[in-house]
Amino acid sequence: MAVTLLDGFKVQKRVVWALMLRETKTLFGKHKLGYLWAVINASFQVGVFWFIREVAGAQPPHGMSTPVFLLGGFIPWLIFNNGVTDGMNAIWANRTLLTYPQLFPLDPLIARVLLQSAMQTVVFAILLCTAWGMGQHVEIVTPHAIFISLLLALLLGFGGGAMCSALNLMWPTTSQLVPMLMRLLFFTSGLFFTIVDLPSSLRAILYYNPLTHMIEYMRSGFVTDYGEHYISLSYAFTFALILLVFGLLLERYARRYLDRMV
Amino acid sequence: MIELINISKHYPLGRRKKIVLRNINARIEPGRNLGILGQNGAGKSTLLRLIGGAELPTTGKIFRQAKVSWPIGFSGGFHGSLTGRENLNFICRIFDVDIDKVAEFVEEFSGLGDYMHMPVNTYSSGMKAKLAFGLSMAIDFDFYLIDEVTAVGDASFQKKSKAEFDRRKDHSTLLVVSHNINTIREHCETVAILHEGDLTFFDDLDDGIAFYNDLPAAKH
Repeated sequence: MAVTLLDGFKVQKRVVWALMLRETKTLFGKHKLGYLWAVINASFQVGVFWFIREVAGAQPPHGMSTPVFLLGGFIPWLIFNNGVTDGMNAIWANRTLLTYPQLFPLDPLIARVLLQSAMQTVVFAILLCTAWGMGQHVEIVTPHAIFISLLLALLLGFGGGAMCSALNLMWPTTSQLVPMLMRLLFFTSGLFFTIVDLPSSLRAILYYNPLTHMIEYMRSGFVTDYGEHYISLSYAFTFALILLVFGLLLERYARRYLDRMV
Repeated sequence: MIELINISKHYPLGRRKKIVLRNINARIEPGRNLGILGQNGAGKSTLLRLIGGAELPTTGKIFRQAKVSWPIGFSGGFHGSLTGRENLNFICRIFDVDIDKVAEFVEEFSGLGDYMHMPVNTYSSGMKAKLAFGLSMAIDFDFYLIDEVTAVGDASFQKKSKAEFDRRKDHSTLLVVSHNINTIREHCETVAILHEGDLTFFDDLDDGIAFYNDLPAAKH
């Protein structure tokens, strides 16, 4: 009975799927409105910043409507942020499941990141339709930009999640530091502003943040001529892949810390 | 058949290294129930977890050409806010077995009734163990790993379990770890003694037990 790589892959697919189904029950299972909370959460955040921008009289660039502008920032952010913060606890929270030999430590992390990406993508579609129904201008100009940006969010979330969950196993203080880092990124990734509007000195700094590129690229999918010359996809993808490789290597190393805790 | 090749396991204990298993080679054949006797802290549970694939050895390889169960009575894999049935679905999906068939068997065997549709964190520890035990019986394993510490249920359930094991003797083999000679006598035909990282096999139960009784008391 030779066990091939393909067999292993089939088992992993099955396990990740089972974990995702399980997570769908545990994520919002105890709340009455269930998955509606994912929609409520995203629309609340967008709503708050929509209000602020209206009061401040800020105009989104290129005649984009404000809700589309904000959704373009918040949805990839939520995929990334939830991937990292949920992913960080995924391995630790599911450590007892490792008793089943089919399960590898990475599987719960993969399941959570995939689930968050799928869920936020659905929320995205729902809220875009809602905005359109409210008479806002919603137009998809380059669908592949939206798709690629979502993929980038998934990769960054997965890499960041792997990195943080590994660090968290070796060094529990991680779980205190990560929310602080996330708060910092929340304000510096262009979720509710665009780097085009910033003074060039500030823009030069934020240019190093891969999330800025991810978000601006997402927005470029909704209007023509968004200012693509500010966006470097190759930088964002290189960053994401390096993060992922280091995250996975670190996770491999951190596995030895799991044995002692079970 | 389960084959252990050059298995070592150690983990840090403060600044020193605690050696649980030292270069163990073994072949566990199906057909005859094997008992593993060891004093407290000898590493019996760790050995069982290694055989079951829950933990990886520090060095060495384990080959399993058989379906090996998780340690029986292990209920840590259940999610408290999910119902018994939802937990059952999850484990069936992982092991790739027919959910409805397993559910039918478990409901009948565990006698949990309507509790199957209640969250697991409303269960008593006995009920949880019954669900876990029923599940492991419903999935046809070739080897069943039994950690005596986690032996489950009241007297009547234990009788039922024993009967179920006897019924499937032809195609399932038990692997029992215990520090109790009586438990091993009751379930096993051969025995291995785990002592200070070494595993010594005895074909004859009485020889093994005599060896075990002559061991000096465990020191920590």
